[in-house]
Amino acid sequence: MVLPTAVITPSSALPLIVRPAGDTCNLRCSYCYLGAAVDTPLRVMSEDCLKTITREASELASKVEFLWHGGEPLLAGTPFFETALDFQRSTPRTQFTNYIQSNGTLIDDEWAGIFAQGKFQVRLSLDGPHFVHDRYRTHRSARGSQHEVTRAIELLQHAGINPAVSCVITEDSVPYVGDIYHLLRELNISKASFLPAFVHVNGRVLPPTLSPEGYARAYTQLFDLWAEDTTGMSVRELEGIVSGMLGRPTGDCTFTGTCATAVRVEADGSVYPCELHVGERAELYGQIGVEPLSHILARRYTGRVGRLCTTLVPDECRKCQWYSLCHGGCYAAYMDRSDGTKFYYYCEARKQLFSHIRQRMAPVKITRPG
Amino acid sequence: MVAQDMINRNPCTPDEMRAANPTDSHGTQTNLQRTILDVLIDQACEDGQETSSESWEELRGALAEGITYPWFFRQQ
Repeated sequence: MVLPTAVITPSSALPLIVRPAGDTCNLRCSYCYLGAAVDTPLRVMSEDCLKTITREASELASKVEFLWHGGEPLLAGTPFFETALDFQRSTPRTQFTNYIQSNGTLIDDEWAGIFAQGKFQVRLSLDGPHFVHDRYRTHRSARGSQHEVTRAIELLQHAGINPAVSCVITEDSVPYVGDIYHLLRELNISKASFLPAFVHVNGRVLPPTLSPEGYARAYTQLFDLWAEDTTGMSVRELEGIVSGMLGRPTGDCTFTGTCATAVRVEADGSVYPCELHVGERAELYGQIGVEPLSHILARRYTGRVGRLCTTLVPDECRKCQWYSLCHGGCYAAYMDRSDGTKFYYYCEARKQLFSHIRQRMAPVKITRPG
Repeated sequence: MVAQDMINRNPCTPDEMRAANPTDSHGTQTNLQRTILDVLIDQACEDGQETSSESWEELRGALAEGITYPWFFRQQ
């Protein structure tokens, strides 16, 4: 069978989530969706595989975005990333952008130098003050990691890199949203994103998952803090919603209904759907080096996950007044009702948040002093 | 009707507009105001449109007087 070629125009950026150290991680965060897989013995992506991805991606798109992810991607080591940058320089016609999501605990001056050299956009995981962060983001010994992350932020800032922060909101952190926001301000964070903790096994939601009620409470409070703040801090989800309210793109894939476009490349070169589809791991899109990347990427649309993402959106979502803003949310957080239909776990919470934001936008006035 | 001299005092390009840091009556720009303005600038300078386009001039003119909620949604 001839596979359709992925629709990638020369002007559009090709995003690839690459996990050079696979699931392996040096932390044991109790809410991690990877579970025991973080204990997997370290196996780093080979140079051959890295070279093939870089070359084939550059043949498909004039702009390529690598999102280095994990587990903990820094476990791949500094030589791996120096080689990655060398390969990127060897294909100068392609514009590469490197994003990296790290727990921050391994960052030192050497890493800061590589990030600066490769103009990496660094995003660190920081859930808030130590009494929030250290409850779940711990080492194997149960020692918290908050101090190491804040040290990494300062180290990177000193090296001229402004790291962004990803903040997971658990049910336990809802009362401390104000403390979390103010900590980010104190640390001079200019870009942040807030993600709901969502842990589920066999259809059962487990602690410390952020409940829909907690979501509505946390995000409306975050919005109010952010909206009145004058520091210029960018919060991805909130800016996306405001943008969507005005008829512009929302950006985040959990709002755009485009999760099928994201693929992750594992350390052994195997390519799968978005990492949040943990239950869909059996659906292998292909293997780097065995067949062309264009053929592998085409399966984003023909594979089971790709089809589900576009067909599973409930009818009630399509009729909702907020559909153009939400697009049914994230498929990975869909739950089953007793009648067999599905719903997005944060559906009602998002409706509350959208209404709140719309009301908050009503009295806003923007003028140019003249 | 917006006075022409008020429009002329507005920044002429999107970058100038962003750098000009439009403010509210208290002299500060909140994150929400900044975000709305960024979106409106993007909207007015949609792909292929020159900054001298009608939508850009309309935004500049509206900003000279001050834009509010109904204007944001009129653009959709």
